[in-house]
Amino acid sequence: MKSEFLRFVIKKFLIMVLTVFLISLAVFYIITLPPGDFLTNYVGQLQAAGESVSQETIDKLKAVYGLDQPFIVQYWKWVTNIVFHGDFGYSFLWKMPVTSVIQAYIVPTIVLSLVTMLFTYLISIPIGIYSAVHQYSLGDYLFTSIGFIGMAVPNFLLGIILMFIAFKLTGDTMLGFFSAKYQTAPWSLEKFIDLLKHCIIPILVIGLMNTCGLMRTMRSQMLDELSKNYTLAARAKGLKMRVIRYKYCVRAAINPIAASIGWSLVNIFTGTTIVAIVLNLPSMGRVMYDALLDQDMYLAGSWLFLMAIMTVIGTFLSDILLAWLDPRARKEYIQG
Amino acid sequence: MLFQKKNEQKRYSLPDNVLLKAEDLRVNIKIDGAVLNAVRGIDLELKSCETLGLVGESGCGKSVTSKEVIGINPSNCSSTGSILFKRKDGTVLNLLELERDGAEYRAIRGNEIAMIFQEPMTAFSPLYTIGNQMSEIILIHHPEATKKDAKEKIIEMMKLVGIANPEIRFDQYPHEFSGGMLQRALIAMMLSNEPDLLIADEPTTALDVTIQAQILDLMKRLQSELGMSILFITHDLGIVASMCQRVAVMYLGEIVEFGSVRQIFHNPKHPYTGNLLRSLPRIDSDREEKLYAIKGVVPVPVDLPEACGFHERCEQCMEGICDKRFPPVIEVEPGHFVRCALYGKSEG
Repeated sequence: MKSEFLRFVIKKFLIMVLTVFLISLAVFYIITLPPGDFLTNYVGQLQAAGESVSQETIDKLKAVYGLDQPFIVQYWKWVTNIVFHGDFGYSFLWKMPVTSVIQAYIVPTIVLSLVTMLFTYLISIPIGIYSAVHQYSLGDYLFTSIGFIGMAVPNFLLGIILMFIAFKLTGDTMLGFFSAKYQTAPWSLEKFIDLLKHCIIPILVIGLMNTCGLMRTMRSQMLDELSKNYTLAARAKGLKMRVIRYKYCVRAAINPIAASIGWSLVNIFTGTTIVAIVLNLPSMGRVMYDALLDQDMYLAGSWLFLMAIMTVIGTFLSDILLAWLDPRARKEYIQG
Repeated sequence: MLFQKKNEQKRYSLPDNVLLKAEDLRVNIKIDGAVLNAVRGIDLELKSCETLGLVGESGCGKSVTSKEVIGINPSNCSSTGSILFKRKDGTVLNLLELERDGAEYRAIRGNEIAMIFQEPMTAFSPLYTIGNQMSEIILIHHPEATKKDAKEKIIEMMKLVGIANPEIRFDQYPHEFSGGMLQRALIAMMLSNEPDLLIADEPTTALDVTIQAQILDLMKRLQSELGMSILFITHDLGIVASMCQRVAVMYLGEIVEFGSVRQIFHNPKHPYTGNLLRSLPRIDSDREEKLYAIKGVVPVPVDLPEACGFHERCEQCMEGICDKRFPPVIEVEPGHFVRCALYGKSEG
């Protein structure tokens, strides 16, 4: 059993590596697809500013950035640099290596995403269970209403409303991750508390839609499980309702949610772009948006590639999680 | 209040050979504001070590009745009347007075009253091993037992019901079992505390015919070895003839005829029973002849008129009588009861 499971994990891993390779090819192709490149834009800007740029200079720049070479060569350079040197290329826009740009933004983005996800699951799963167990009770109706409103309200609108409320209450709109006075200050307890305060609105805004959706999913999954025959059999043998609910029903109802945990992280990651712009958060979504607008190809490509890798890893983890949780899936995966 | 209730409980008694007695049992189900009268005042008596068949079409209330006995109907069901049950220690309880999922009822379920179900494939959760789920029934009712004790007992029970390689089977999941094997496992589990009453809710309906016969034989053998009463719910009259001593025929939430297998099969009194028997395919019948089917369908039991429940479908319906009042229950011969207006008038 153990070795079979290991073989399953290895098989999944190899498929994952192949997928990542194909994705890298696709990503690079896509970012070279739009007509023109960063240099064309750059030269255009210089000329608009009244500077004359000779063809010689342009060619020199092209050679420096490797833009004069054919697609396959460019791709090969990009991939080998990533694999062997951890070098994702150069951001024309930021005038520094892509890795430095990503490094500066990835930490707050990941922290925000993970905390939001934790918040989402911690809130929605218990509420979903409560709603199902107390179906059609006052509490159920209340959570159902909140859930539907939460799903219906666009999250950037909610962001603006919460900012307004925050401003009315505290005189601060809670934009960005830090107040002005802590922006450049060294880390301290006060700065950390300030960060937490500033996280409340983004977490609420980003997390609410997912929370409401998950709440509904958990509720309907749970209702489904509660009405299954095995609960009758379990009652007939004298088991307590509490044990039936938590040992059997919750465990079964949570499976599809566990299976989606991998890519829901990516969802939160990428879904924050508009919110990040509205709330002025220095998160990766914002950076990606600018990179795409300015055809900063290595930055945009690297970001896309990272997202794709995260999705693939997420799916890989979900598969393993599901196989671990559900003996039927385990059997299907291992034999099939 | 509590004191009074306790006094009341002490009053109940049952004759020596009677294990279970339901009187005027009514179960209403609330669905979307409407009230379904699923069980409409039935009287039922089950003797020790006998098998009583409860037969009827789908939707006649036989499943609801059986689930009411073991107290696992959903919370939108409410019941009145009484179900007296004699516990192993001889005390008699009215099961309807117990809280549905309270400690007292739970101590009886799986221990003194057990139940097996129509679809054994869905009676186990797919997420835990069979052994894990079967052991629970030992661990719940014997808090002093260790997991090892429970495993030993379960493996012994698996052997008893004819599951090969029980040590290996113990650690397998339900999807690795066939339907017949799962029904065996369910029976083994439910009987491991040697209950006095086993409720079998169409236990063979979802199985194919050869497996059906094996399961029925197994149940008969276990009944004689362990000594228990079986309340056998089925719509298959063939099974009734081979399994039961007495039969209750249910129609629209009422028992329309009650008697020994011999009385019911050889001398059916109620038109519904007669029709049921006529609609059985017979091996010696004329091939050209179409199989008999009772006309119409079972009415939905909402706001039923004060009339015989069967009058709309009955070929012998007497206008002005059957559709105007409830027919009385008549004992047509010793131990043979029928609820029909055709009888009794002549006798008195």
